[in-house]
Amino acid sequence: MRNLILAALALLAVASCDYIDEPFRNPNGGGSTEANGDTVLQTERAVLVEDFTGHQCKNCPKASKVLKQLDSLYGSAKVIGLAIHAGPANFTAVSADYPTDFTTDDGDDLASFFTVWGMPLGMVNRLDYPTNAHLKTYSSWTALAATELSLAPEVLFNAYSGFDSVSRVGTLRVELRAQAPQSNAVGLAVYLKESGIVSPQLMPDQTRDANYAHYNVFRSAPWGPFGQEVWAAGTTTAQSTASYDVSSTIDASWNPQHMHWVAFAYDRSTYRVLQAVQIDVK
Amino acid sequence: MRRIAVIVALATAGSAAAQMGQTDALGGTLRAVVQMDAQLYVRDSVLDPAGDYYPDERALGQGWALFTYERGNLRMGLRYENYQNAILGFPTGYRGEGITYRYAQWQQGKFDITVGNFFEQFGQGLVFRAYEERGLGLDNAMDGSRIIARLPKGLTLKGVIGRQRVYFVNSDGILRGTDAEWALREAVPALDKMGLGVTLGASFVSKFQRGFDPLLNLPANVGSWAYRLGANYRGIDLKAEYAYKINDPNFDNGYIYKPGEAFVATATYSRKGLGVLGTIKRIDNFSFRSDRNAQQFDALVNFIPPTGNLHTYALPALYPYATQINGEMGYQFDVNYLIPKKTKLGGKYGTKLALSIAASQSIDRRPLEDGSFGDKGTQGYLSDALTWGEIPYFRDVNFGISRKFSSKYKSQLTAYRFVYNKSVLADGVNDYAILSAPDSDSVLVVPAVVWEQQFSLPRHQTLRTEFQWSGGEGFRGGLAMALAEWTVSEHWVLAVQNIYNYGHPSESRRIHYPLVSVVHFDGPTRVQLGYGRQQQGIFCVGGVCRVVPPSNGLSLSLTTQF
Repeated sequence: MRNLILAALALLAVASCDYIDEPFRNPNGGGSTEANGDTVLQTERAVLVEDFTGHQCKNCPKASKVLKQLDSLYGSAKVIGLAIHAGPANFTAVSADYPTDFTTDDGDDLASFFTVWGMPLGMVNRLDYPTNAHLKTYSSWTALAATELSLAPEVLFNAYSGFDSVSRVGTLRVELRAQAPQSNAVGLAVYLKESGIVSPQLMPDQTRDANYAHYNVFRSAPWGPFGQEVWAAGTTTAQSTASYDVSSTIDASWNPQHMHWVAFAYDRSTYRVLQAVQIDVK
Repeated sequence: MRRIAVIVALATAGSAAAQMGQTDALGGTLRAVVQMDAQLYVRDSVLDPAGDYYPDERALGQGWALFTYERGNLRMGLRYENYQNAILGFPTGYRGEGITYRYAQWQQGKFDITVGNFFEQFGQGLVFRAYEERGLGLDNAMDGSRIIARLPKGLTLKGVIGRQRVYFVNSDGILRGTDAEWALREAVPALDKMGLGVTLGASFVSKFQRGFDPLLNLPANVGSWAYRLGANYRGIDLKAEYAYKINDPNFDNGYIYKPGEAFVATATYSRKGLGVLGTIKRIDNFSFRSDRNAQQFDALVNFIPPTGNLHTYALPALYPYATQINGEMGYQFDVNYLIPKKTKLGGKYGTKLALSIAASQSIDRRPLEDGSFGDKGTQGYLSDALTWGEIPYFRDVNFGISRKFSSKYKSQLTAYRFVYNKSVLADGVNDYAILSAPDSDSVLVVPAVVWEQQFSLPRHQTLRTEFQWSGGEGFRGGLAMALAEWTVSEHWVLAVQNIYNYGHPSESRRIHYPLVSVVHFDGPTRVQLGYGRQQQGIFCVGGVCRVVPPSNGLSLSLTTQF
């Protein structure tokens, strides 16, 4: 009897363990959302990944790398990265070696609101706010993004953009189409970001990379960090729609060809992002 | 669904046939335990200037009722819970209402069989512990089946299968587990004759959760096993357990593939007037959850016993220790001694002395040979099991003396010295971040003193007072507290207290936290009404913690049983 029990235990132990020799698999992904520069018509869920970062933060390039991996896996139509240079001042401060000031008042407000105590830390759809677990380490972003993308869309966007090269004014029209009722109020926030900015960055091996290319850099929030209310609490149905026009003057030092609008709908009580969209400025 | 319907029908039938808590004509007994908590919040612009924590609902309430029916070898039960919505600080996943716990248990001869929900623990819980801690909002009850066989010669076998509760649903992962424990004393008469008790045990638990990470090959089946030894002889008691877990990339460990290990050993000695306890512990990457993406205390499969005392006085309790499941080394040493009564030092009734020393530190962590350190999809780090890490997490040295001076007066004085790593314990900064920026963590030294007195008054009344103080630079700063609790009769207790955070680094936070409360006892019923401010803090039980936001308002709590 005892031998039988031991044999059963041994069998269970062997059968119930998956030892992994090769942790990484070949990436795959993709999506069916159309993103052709000045028009985006969404048909499926997208996820917003916000990375609080700094050019004097040596581990921050690792987090940026995760954003790039997500971009290569899913494309910017499905995973929208945003690098917010805000948080502890020793990582974001300007110095002779790190002369570019990437910080913004809106970014500082976001870092303050979400109590960013260190970096690199980020938020995936602002999940788990305010349980103190909303700030996620970059190692978890991919899995959390995959989980979020597997959910049914709650809101979908149509977005259209235009740019006047003379006045340097960018315009954005967003149309929201709710796909499911929401009990809390729903808000809409709109940000501008820029990629391909070459400026020094402290690297994980403590060296300074003078030609580091910064991507997804948060530039401004034309409606403020938390935008405005779209639907009041309890009024969102699966048929609710709304549309808004936004415009913003693009700073002379920013390159509009490397800039994107980022708009997202979110739960005004929990701050959970329901859907996000990205579209070229020019 | 049919199973629920049968249980509900039987419970209803029981209540119709029997008075609660009394035996019915069929020999069955129905019992119930009920608890309700409600809070009415007051907007407090001093405590919470921006209103960040002020709930939209303004009043929140939650409650539960557990019904148990027993008849012969059969026991059944169900628990109804509702959260409308959960009170502040409670996990927000508790929202709504429903029957969250229902089971039927049958004991027959050697066998004990449970279907539905159950709590269970293997050994000290290193690889499996399904339990609840209602004050925390922790409930990882299993929903499945359990069989326990108590065989001759002291051998006990257990088998479990099921999924764990996560709020109002069950976790993604399926758990399968077995445990064997052998009390040698029952098998070897010579040991019994010597008075030596020896227990051997072994456990195996495996979780199954499908993985769909686009980058990683995730293990769907993760196994963990443990061996344990227990021995006792003439007041000496020894318990030791070692556990191992195969690659389990998860949110807690940053999706690394390093196997986990855990070791806990405790020795105690007791004789009249003296008790000694010593514990050592090493935990290395031993977060074990049935959902690899779960956080806080959702879907925890195991339990790491804390090294350190659970402080119940208000100010020392502001500096609790949360077990670091990703890795920690620690020890605890306690001595309790009673100076005999009717001696010069002991006085008429004797004097109790208690010394406790506890410490927790990070484990040794070094980069892998390829230079990576804690990176996802790697083995994470190198660690030497016998080398202490560089980061102090927590130290707690406290000494207490308590003495009954007369039949009407007793007093207790306790002094504490905490070393509290705020970055790790309050802010959740991980070892990698601190090691990459040495000395970036904020380590506080906090002294504290508590003086408690109890006076017996005429007409069986009692007055209990507490004076507490804690110091420290930064974080909370200096705090002072006074409490008076008057037991008016066996039915009524009145209490008033105030905490003054006079030394807070921010001048605007140097505020008072007054609280008044009334407690009424009526047989098995207890009703408590309180009004006042609740300080922001961390509430822990057994090393598992949750954040408590600041609040002000009226609270009502009712507990009763039938």
